[in-house]
Amino acid sequence: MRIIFFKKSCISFKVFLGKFTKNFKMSFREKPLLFLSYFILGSLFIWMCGIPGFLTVENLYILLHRIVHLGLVSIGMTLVIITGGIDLSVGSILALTCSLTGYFQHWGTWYGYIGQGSFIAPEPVILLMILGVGGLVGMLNGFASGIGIPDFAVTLGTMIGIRGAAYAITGGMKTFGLGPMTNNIAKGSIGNVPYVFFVLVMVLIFISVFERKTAMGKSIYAIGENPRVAKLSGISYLKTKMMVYIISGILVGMAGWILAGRLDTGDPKVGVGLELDAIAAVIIGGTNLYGGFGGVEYTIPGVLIIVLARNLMVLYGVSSNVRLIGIALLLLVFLILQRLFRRK
Amino acid sequence: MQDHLCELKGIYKEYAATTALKNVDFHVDGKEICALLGKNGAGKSTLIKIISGVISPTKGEMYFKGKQVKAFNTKNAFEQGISVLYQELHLFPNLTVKENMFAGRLPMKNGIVNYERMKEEAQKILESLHIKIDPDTSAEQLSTVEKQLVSVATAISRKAELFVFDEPSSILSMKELRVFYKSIRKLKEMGKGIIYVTHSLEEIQVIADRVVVLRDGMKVVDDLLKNMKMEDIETSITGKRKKDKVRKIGNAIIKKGKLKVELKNIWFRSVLEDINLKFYENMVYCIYGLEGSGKKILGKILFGDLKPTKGKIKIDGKLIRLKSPSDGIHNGVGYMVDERANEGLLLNKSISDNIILPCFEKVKGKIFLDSKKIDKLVYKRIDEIGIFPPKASIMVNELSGGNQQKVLLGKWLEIGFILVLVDPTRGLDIETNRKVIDLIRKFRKGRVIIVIPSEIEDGLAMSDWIVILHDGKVMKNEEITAKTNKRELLKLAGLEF
Repeated sequence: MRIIFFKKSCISFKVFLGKFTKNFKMSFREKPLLFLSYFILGSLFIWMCGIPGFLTVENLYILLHRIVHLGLVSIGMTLVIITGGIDLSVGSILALTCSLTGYFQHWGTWYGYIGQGSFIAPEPVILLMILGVGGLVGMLNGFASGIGIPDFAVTLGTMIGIRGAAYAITGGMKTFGLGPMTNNIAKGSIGNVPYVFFVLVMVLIFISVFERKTAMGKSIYAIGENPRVAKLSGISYLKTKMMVYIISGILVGMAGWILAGRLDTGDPKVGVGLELDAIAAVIIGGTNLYGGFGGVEYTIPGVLIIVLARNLMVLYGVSSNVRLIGIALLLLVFLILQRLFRRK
Repeated sequence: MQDHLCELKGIYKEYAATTALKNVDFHVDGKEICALLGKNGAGKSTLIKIISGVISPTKGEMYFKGKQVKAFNTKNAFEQGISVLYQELHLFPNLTVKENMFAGRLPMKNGIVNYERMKEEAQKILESLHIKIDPDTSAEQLSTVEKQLVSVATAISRKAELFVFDEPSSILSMKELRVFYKSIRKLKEMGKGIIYVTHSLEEIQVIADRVVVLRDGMKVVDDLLKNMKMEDIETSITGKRKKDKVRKIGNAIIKKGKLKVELKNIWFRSVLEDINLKFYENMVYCIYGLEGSGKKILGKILFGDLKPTKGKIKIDGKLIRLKSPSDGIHNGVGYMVDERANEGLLLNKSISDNIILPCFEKVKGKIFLDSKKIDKLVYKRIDEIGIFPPKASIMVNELSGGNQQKVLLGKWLEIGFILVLVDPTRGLDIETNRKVIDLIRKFRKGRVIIVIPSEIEDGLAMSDWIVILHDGKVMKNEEITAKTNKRELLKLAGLEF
């Protein structure tokens, strides 16, 4: 009896192993880009484990925060890029939402009560307002690109305009000292894992289900691959475009709120060049810049690679003046590798 | 070997999974028009690609003008004098005809382009081919056939010896073809070798000297046209004995149903004038007209892709307004485009994704798409239509042209009770053509099918009713019977004989 059971379990284990290796092979043949980015990510991680200072609690804690920050922005960016668009305004939306988070909690500044907190509304409502502001800017982007203005032009406009709005509203000033809820959520952690990391994981699950299991998700891919075919199949270009930009705006709003809480400051100067990091993460992941192919599961390794690569340069003591060149080289290497690996 | 202009011996071409060519011998002489026939996927395009150097054969030798070709690349083939004229033509639209002909090697004089010499030479070549085109017109003003002819003239000016035409007839109208044939014959008189790829048997009767048929990667026929019967050629292409001819005209087993669609006084700018048509269920309608007669615009109006300037559309007796394709889809109109790759299918997506694209509502659960429902629907379509390979996850760009066409049809069957099919048999070989016609006959039950063909033969073969359009006006609107005269209909459509 026991022997039979043993044999059976052996066989089922073999079948399991066989299935696993088969899936593995399949995924390499069918999704070489995904395989490539995970492979590079893995080797980068193993390499970095050997560098003193990497595997310390402080360093990893900071990295997790960086991942959440870039991750939220890049997830939205991925959806936009899948539709064949591009969102240059994320850095500015971050600045607007970050500074507004501070501003809404020091509303009294208008009336001269400087230095003490005066909330425009309860803190949870402020959070919703901030997300709403992000979504509103996204809606603007989505509407303009949905009626046929090139995405690049539209978001270039909002990139400049929204940054301007952030400066204009705050007068270019920082606001220090935020409310307890904002501070606690943004800074708090379970063990050494920040709360906001779980927020990212939830967003990730939500968006990855959204992109492959809903009609809107399928429409996003269809529009990215061929807008004419999508239109002739009854898919609304305007609706889909507005949807992705609104999602992108809301996620950036969330990142802005978290950033404000973590810095305990509302700052209109944050997020300069953020759009470039997010686009780089999306490209490194393997999402097609012309649209129609990719997904958040591609972008996440892209985000991790960028964050780790920056950390690597810090740990090796590369000057901050030189780090951008490092990112550029990384991007170049990935683009070349992707060209070689792309399925013919 | 000296006898033939171009000769291929024992050519094999193997791809990862399939063998496209098996031991093919092929030759063309100067002063000869050799027609190359075969089903979609028989290996015609592979053979042409080898001749033009796009790909190299796995095994086999190629000789051109008696010399063995060692390196297979397009530049080499081009320099030796092999010129391929694909369906999509590569002319610079903003340059004039003469500039296009001499692009890349403009005649110079003291470092400045010598326009006079260029014009003179262009004129000489065009005249030698009996082409009546002014070398100073800009390329974008040319018609399709003129573009083809300019490409031919360009190739001659580059001293090409062998011309390969890849299905030119599928993009030219009947009138244009006649002009085209004249120039091809002139080319033959000049001593050039010509390979002419086509689907149409009627065409080879007019133009070919010799016929080569490929089937499943093997050469099955290679003989002079005068030694052969048309039936034999057809049999050798399909590999089957021909059964009965296409549907006998007028055999309506399914009875005419209720009035489904009514067009009342439709005007569209200056293209359509006062169109009044009624469409009944269970019927296949054929709307035929020449290019520019407004037949495609009428189809688009029905689908909602274009808004009529004036007029009413009634579906099921209800007056409706179609503002966009999604309105059309909500009212049960399906629109199968002729530009399969550009407007019809998402090529990098799976069969399943393409089929459910217009009917998300049908496969939706409460929030998410229900993968069981999707599978059920997609496999139902695959079985019904006979898509091969029958696997929902296969990318559409891996399918053959005929199967892509079937996917395109399958996309609309779920929601479309009024199907507008623009040129459903475009670019299909004889066998697939028949299958598609059979499918359309099969699916007319409970639907209105409106076919807008480019060839009237196809339209007559699959329809119960014919509408002839000429300059935006309905010239004829009657049932197809055994007495229906094709010639008369063509005359009404404005074709001159």
